[in-house]
Amino acid sequence: MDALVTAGAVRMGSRRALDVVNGALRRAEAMADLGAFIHLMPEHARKRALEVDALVAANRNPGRLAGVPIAIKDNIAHAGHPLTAASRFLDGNTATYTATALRRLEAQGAIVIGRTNMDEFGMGSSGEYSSWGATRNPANPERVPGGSSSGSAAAVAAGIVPIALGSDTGGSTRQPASFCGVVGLKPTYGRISRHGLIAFASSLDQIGPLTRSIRDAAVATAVMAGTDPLDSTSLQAPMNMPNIATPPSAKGIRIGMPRQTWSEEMPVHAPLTECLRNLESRGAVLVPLDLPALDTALPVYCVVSSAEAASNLARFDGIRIGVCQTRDTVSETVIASRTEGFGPEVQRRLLLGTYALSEGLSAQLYRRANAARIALRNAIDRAFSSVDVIVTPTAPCAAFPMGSRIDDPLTMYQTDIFTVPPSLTGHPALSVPAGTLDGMPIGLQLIGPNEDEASILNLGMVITGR
Amino acid sequence: MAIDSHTVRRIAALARLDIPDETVGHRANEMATLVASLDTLGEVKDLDTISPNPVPRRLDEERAPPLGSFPDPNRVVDTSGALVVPPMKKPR
Repeated sequence: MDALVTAGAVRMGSRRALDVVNGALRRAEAMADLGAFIHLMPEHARKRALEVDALVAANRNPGRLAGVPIAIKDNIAHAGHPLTAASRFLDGNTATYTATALRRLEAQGAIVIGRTNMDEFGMGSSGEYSSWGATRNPANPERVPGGSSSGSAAAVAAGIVPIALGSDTGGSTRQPASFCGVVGLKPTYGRISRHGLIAFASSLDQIGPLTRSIRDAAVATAVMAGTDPLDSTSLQAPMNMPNIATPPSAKGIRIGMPRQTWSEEMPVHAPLTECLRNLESRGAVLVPLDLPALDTALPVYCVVSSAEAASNLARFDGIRIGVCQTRDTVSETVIASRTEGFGPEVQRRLLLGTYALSEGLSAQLYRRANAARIALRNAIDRAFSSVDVIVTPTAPCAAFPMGSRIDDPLTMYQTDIFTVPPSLTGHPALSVPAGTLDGMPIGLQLIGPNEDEASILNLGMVITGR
Repeated sequence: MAIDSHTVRRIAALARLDIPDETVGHRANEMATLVASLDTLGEVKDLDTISPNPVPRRLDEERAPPLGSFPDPNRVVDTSGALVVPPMKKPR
């Protein structure tokens, strides 16, 4: 059941929040084999549900998301609860404060029932790089759910919760949404405060919702959005809400299709093109685009994200933070702690990022990548003078078999080839379920003008009907 | 720069990681493959006119509120609005 419908029933008193939460907890326990959750919080969830029910009984406002069970990715802080980013390095770590985005959801009555599995520190595209075991795709347990917000996508797709929080650095909300057949939104950079999100790449990271409906994604984002004095990159301007009450129309919407992302050789080309032809028959205008700057996006992302990750993860030394592997000297202790604590994909990216920033190479790689990033942003902004929304496949493929790419990092990184451009440029991007390929869900990515989530959410409602 | 075992060890030391001897060769090959995939960055033209600005610019020009405006019940300010650092007690 959609979040808004559930909240409406709880606010009216026709359903108790406690019953809703108990139902979600039962489903989570029944589907434990999916590996979607790292940590369930039944006591906390039931306590919060009773508080919401008490507000309803007292005729006080319980919030827009009253009684809605939600799940949060394990890199989002929730005071008093475990915070491990799916890394054994942070085994036993407990958050001392709550992320701003989560505080705002809880203030509107949402109830966290558990923390979801993910690729370690957000680094991964399959859901197989967690220290606590892999997550499986609810549509086919032999396939990956995508990553890094693997557990959140699986939890929503399996119907355990209607809303789950993910984080998106290069596609980590959108790509698993595509693989699992749900909605995933990366808002405009700065739309949602990053305070309380374990940093991976600070100029790219954004918290975003995974939901079963566009309406739920819109309301969840609006609740979380807003300036935050604890995050200097948070936007001051308010978010424009799409019209979720009146069904939107496709008539006259100019949809840009960059030829660099629509190769007929891609397996997803045929089913997604059929979705676009349907939009055209309903009045949308398909506009071919040529954006050669898109060809540099993946190398730029590899350099920028790994360089920023190398900087952000330098704080994990096993002394101030993390599991300590004591040795004879401080230096040896730090090295041993990091080597034992970080998984293979994290180490791979730290090596790449450190290499990119090293003397003699930073000008060639890091500075060049940042300049190319600006050129990409300028190119996409120029494109929006001709179109209203840019569409690409979310991923070049559907969910692949577990274990098939884990030893091939380059092929694994290619999964994010279409999601990284809006991550680099800051534009809002939404993945909507848009068909199937060999029985597995696939998604269509909608990229909107800067700070204009309403455009892509409206088009998303046209495509999905919800 | 060619990526060999020596390079991997040097970079690992900078990253404060230990790479076991038996895997250094594999790491070197892996890094070489990844770095080779970044070669397209060298083909990007007309970059000299763009000043690097890694954080996407926001449309609004306002900045976050100054530190002094954060609510802090323990904060003491003087008449100019500057934070007053409490005097230290002299050690005995």
